[in-house]
Amino acid sequence: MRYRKTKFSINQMRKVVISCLLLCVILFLSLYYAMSFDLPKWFPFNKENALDEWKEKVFKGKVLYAVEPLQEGGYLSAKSQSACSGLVYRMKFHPKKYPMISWKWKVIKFPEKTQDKPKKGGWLEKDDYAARVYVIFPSWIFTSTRCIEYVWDEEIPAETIMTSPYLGNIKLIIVESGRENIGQWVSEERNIYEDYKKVFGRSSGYVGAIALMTDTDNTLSTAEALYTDIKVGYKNE
Amino acid sequence: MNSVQNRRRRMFANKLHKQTLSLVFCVALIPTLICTVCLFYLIFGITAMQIGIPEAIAYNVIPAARQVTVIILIALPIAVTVIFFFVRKITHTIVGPFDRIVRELDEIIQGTRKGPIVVRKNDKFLPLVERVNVLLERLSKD
Repeated sequence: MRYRKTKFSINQMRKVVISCLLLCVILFLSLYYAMSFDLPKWFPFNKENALDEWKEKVFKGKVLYAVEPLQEGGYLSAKSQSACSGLVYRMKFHPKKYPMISWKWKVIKFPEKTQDKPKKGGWLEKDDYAARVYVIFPSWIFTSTRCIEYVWDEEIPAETIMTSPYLGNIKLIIVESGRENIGQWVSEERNIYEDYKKVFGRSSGYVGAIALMTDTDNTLSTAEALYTDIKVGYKNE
Repeated sequence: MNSVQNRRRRMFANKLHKQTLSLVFCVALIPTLICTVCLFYLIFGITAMQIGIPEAIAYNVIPAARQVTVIILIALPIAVTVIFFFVRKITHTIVGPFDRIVRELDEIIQGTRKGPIVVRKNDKFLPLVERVNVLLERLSKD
C-alpha cells in the first residue's frame, strides 16, 4: 500500500502554527479592548435617555425610577412603595488603578422602620434603605461574587460596616447617617479599593457593575431618594 | 467451592479487569463532572448574572444551587457505585475466564491435562471455548 506524502513540510507547519497563535493573540486583544470601558464614567442624568444604558433588575416589585433631565443638575429619582428593584450598569475596570467613586444623593423620605424587635428573628426586616450605591465584584463562581453597598441610613452611625442578612459576601458601609441632611443634596466620595480591603481583608478583583437601589420591600413602607453626578473609575488626586 | 469463594472475594479478576474497570470508571465520572460543572455554570452563573442584584441572587439562586449541589453530592456517588458494580459484573464474565482459558490451554499443550476446556454458563467466551473444544476433540481423534 502506498501512502501519500504529507502535504506540508515542517517549516510550513511552523508558519501555520505561528499564524494561528498570532490570530489568537489578535482576537484576544480585540476582545479585551472591545470589553474595556472609557474611564472615568460619569452619569449626570441630564438627558431623557440617560437610563438607556442602565438595566432595571427587579427583586420584589418595581421601584419607580425616572430621570429629571434639567439642563443643569439633572437627577434620577427613585420612589419605592413596598418594592425592591435596582438599576444596574455593567462595566469592567480594576479599582487598584481607578479606585474612586463619587456621587450626590438626596433622601426625601426614609423607609419606616419599627423600633420593635424583628419578628423573624433577624434584621432582615430592617434591610431597607432610602438610598444605596452598589459596587459589584463578580467572580467566575457566582457564589464568590462580592459586593460593597454604600448606604444612607437614618439610625446606624456613619462608617459602620455591616454584613448583609442575605449573604456574607455583601458588605454594607454606612456613608451617611441621620436625618439632619434630609432633603439636601449630599456629596460622597469613596475609594473602592481601600474600602474593599477594609471590609473583606484582601485586595479586590475587578469591578463588574455598579448599581443603585431604593427599597422598602421588607418594611412594606415608602421611601424616596434622588441620585446624580455619579462618577466612577478615576484616580485619587 | 473454594474457587467460587475466592472469585467472589476478589474485586478484580486480573490486571486486564482492573484496567477495564478503571477505564469505565473514568469514562463515567470525568464527563459527568465536566458536564455538571458546565451546566452548573450555565444555569446558575448566567441566571445570577441576569438577576444582577446581589441580594436577589442570594435569595433566589444560591438556595437553589445549594439544593442542586446536595442532590449531586448524594446522587453522583450512588450512581457511579451502581454503574461500577454493574460494569464489574459484566466485565467479570468477559475478562475473568480469559486467564483460566489460557491456563487450561497451556496445560493441554504441555500434556498435563486432557479433555475439554471448562467455562461457566454465563461466560462471554463460551461460544469461542465450545469451538476450541470441538477443535481439541478433532485433534485428539487424529
